[in-house]
Amino acid sequence: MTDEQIMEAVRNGDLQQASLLFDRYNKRLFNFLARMTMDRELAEDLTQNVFLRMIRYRSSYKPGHKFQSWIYQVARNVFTDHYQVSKKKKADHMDIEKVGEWVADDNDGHTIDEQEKLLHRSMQLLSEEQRELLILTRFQHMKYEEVADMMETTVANIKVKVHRAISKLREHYFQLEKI
Amino acid sequence: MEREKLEGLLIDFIDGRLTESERKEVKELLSTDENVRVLYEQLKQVTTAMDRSAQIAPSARLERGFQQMLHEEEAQQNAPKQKQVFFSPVVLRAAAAVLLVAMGIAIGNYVKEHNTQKRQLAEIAKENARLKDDMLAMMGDQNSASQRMKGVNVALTYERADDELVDALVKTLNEDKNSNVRLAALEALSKFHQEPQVRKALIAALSKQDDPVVQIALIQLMVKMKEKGVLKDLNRIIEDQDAIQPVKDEAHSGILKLS
Amino acid sequence: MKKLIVILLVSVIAGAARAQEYKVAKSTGRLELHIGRVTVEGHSGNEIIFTSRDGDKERDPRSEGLTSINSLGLKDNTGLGLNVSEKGDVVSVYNLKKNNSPDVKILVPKGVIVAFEHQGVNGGTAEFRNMENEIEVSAQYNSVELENVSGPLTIRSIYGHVEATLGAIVKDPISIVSVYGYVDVSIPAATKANLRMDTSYGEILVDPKFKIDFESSDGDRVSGKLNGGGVNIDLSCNYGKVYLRQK
Repeated sequence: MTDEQIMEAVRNGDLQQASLLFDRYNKRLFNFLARMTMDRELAEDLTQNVFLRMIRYRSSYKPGHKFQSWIYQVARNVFTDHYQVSKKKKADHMDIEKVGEWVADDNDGHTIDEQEKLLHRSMQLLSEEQRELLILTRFQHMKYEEVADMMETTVANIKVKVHRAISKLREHYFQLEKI
Repeated sequence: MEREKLEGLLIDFIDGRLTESERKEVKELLSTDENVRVLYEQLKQVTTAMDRSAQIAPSARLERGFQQMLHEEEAQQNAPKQKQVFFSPVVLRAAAAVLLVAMGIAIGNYVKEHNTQKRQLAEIAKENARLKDDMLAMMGDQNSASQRMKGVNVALTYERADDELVDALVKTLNEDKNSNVRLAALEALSKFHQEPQVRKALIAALSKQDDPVVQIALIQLMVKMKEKGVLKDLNRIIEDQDAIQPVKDEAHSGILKLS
Repeated sequence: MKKLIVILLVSVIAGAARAQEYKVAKSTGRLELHIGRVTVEGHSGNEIIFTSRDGDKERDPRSEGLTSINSLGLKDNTGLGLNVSEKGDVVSVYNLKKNNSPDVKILVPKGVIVAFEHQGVNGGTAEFRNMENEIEVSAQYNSVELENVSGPLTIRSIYGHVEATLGAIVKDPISIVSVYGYVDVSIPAATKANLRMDTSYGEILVDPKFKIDFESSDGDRVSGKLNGGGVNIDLSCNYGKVYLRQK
């Protein structure tokens, strides 16, 4: 069954089917939120919240709409809402040192190399919009078309922004490397 | 070639998105221009680092939490069915069996009602808490004044304001960067002006308020509330060099009406 | 004769080259304008485009190669007499000259929240046309004109007046306040709204064709539901009059 078909069933009241969508999307959404927040525990809570909204607000899903776009939009809203409620400025909240810790301690037992730490520190220096675009297109491997659909804009627009983000990232990365 | 265009080209080259002729052009540049080659190496390094980045696994807590949440949501959905489950704990069945059928049914119905009500109240409380969180979230939206205003307008539908809400409204009244949102907060607070801590907060706001539009509305509210305690503040406003004329006029008028 | 033709050619080319434009690629976030006057229009592109309407100015030959900078340390980085900078999601625009705002037109994509703020005495009119964006205005002396906008609007001016015509789509909330000026708003007859109109010392004037379900009004305020209620529309004046017209 396609994601869209499952979500329609959920929308019509068959809540058990939501488990299928959980299985298909939880790791992806968790990764997205974890990289946006740089806080694993928080990302788990937020991911939980995404699925809660998926079920509670199931009637807001428009049948036929691409599920992936919809669920990511819910995730983005959950992310923004969290920082507004806690009234912390996002940039201040993310401690660069914490990033290092976070990255050093991977669940799967891999040791994260210096390069990856440097990469994450550089990501923190980007604007949130740019960071988000890189996470979606390069960490989550979403296609430009999919991102454009989600953000309701053109592929050309996304492409230009992603290029600029990579360009800025490169700048920060190689400056930090010198330190 | 312009820097931005070059970088775009190199990134597309790395991703294998170029046409044959475009690839040739890039290879040409790479072989002839040292700077381009360095840029290419650097771009390749960061993009590869991103592509290679391992997926992080969530802990078992996530799945457990989801299953629990799913059960709760299903329970809420199937509430009518659950009544019957509550209806038959062993003790009640035994009691029903012992007593006459008519009495047994009567007791059973009483317990059913009571438990249903308790659960409904708990659910309503949870729903209200969630709605309140949503409202407070809207009130805190730093990007959009209209969202903050919508959040405040929700407060207008409440019959009573608890401390958390009053604090949020007072903060908005005193600090929001948008006058219209401040006015909406004033509107909401004036609805609860019977409550002593709201009254106190409104009086305190008068001395802190620096937005002329809000000062005027606040003075008018004080007059309506017949709050003579602000006469000192009104006199201060008239003396205040920074206060603009319409505010001073309103303060004069306020003093006349309150004396 | 030849010299004259050469001079004409040079000035034509120089003039053509001077049609200045400054673009920012942005289709979401906030645009904060800290300038004295502006004309803002919505458009379907995904860039914010600034153009000058001042026409060709006499270029001071001594300023060649130098950048204009003001007491806040802001540089003219647009060639339009404005400093435009981006931080995070916000694009901020400042005047170079405190007392003299260039006449600028800005095209804005609909996903950008536009905020205009001006507290100085030398304010002009802030015009907004054909926009579906959220618009915030905090002005002291400026008058505000909004034509064919949808809202949400949070607008206040102390001494200036506000005129607005709303389109068929009206987004909640619409909040307009003026202390000394008048507030004149036109809405389509079929708009569903919760109306609230206040004036301390002025008058409230409403088109009689509106079927308003009046709720209890208290002294200075008139409130009621239009066509059953819907979007919150709050119009408020202290000394001026409130006009509500049918479009």
